[in-house]
Amino acid sequence: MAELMPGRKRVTPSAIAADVLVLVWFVFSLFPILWMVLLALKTSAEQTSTYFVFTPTLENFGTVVSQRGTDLTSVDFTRALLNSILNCGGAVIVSLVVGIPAAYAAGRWKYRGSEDLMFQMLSFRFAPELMVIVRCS
Amino acid sequence: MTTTIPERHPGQEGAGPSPRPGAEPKPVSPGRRKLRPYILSVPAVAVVIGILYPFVIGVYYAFLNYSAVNPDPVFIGLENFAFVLSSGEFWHSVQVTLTYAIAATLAETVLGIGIALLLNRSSIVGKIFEKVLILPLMIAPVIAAVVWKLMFNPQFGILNHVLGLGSTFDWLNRERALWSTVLVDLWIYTPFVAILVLAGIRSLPKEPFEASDVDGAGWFYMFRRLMLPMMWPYILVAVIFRFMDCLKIFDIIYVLTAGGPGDTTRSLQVGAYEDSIINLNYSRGSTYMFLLWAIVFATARYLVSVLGKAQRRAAGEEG
Repeated sequence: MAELMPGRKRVTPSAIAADVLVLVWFVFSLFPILWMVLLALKTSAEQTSTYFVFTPTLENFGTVVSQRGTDLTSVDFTRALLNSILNCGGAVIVSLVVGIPAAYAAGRWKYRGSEDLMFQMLSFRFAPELMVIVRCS
Repeated sequence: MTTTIPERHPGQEGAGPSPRPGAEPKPVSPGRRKLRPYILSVPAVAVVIGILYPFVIGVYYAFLNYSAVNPDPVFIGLENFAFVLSSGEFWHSVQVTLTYAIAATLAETVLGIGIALLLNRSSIVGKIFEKVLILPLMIAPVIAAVVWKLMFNPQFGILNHVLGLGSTFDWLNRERALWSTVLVDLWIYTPFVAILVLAGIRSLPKEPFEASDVDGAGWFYMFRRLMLPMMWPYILVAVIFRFMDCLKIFDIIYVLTAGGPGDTTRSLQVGAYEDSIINLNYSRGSTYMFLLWAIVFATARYLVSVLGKAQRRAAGEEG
């Protein structure tokens, strides 16, 4: 078997076997990503094809960001991108503004309710998202 | 000028930065000093209340008969719970959720440890692929599920073509659908476990391994007796995160099968979504959610206590 901690470089059968195993995992891991990229570069007529060699086209990318893409999918790509950025940026800013002072306070002083507050905040990770969302329907 | 009161650290004596010599700290009155932690926690308390409000309302809904066809809900006590707990649907969902969570977490942990061990060698192949290890994690789970759904398609999906399974092998039929969703979960999140475990391995001291190597210990003995006990806290953190998220699984299953075929992949959160958003039976959905929350909460409490014990043991304070 391969060495447990990185040490001297040795070319042994077990080292080669380990490399082969690494390769097997990465074929499995990267293939769906490769396939996603290939589908993006194929024309719409070729979407159901299973071959790997074709003339790539950037047509799909143009469609997605144009008005035609909005009409086809009823999703405005630039608007969706902006929403994602606002959502993500807002969540990060609020988490930092809320989390850093509270973590500092709880780490520096032991005050009444600090443990409860910390556990309460952590426990929101256990709650299913729907529990909080349904309220607004 | 009032005399400066030395900062006290009731939690941990001597913790925190010591004042720089020469830099006199600004004098603050003792009353305001006492208030400081509370002022700092105000935003956190506000957010907790802000989230608790819809949460409590959600729990309250579980005790009403609120739905779109019944806009004037009345309090019906535990009737929803009695209905849900006596329905086969719910227990089927529990079974699906637990099967999914246990299978996915187990496979991801074993594979993650294996990949971390394989990458933790002085090999060029490993060095190259370490850079792209987290690519699946960078794709939104919904997009990943869409890509896999395209690949799973029996007629024009690439998987059946590449694996030579013909055009009749259906990855998402009654028997295989759940395992296919586990496969997608495994594809996305195994790198997460692998990265955590790899970081853990890299932080271990090398001396014990060199010493046992000199003593002639075999690979498996070293792994079993040295590495595993020292890495156990890292592995547990990965297991806790994965298991919690798997119990709440929604996106992958909903994109791939929407709970079908029939109800074979109807996990608890998918069931709650069907009840509260598609069938507009808010109270029934809330009951599902409350029960799911109770399951996740209890499991989390248990796993965190196990983690605490493991950390103390790894630090050498126990047995």
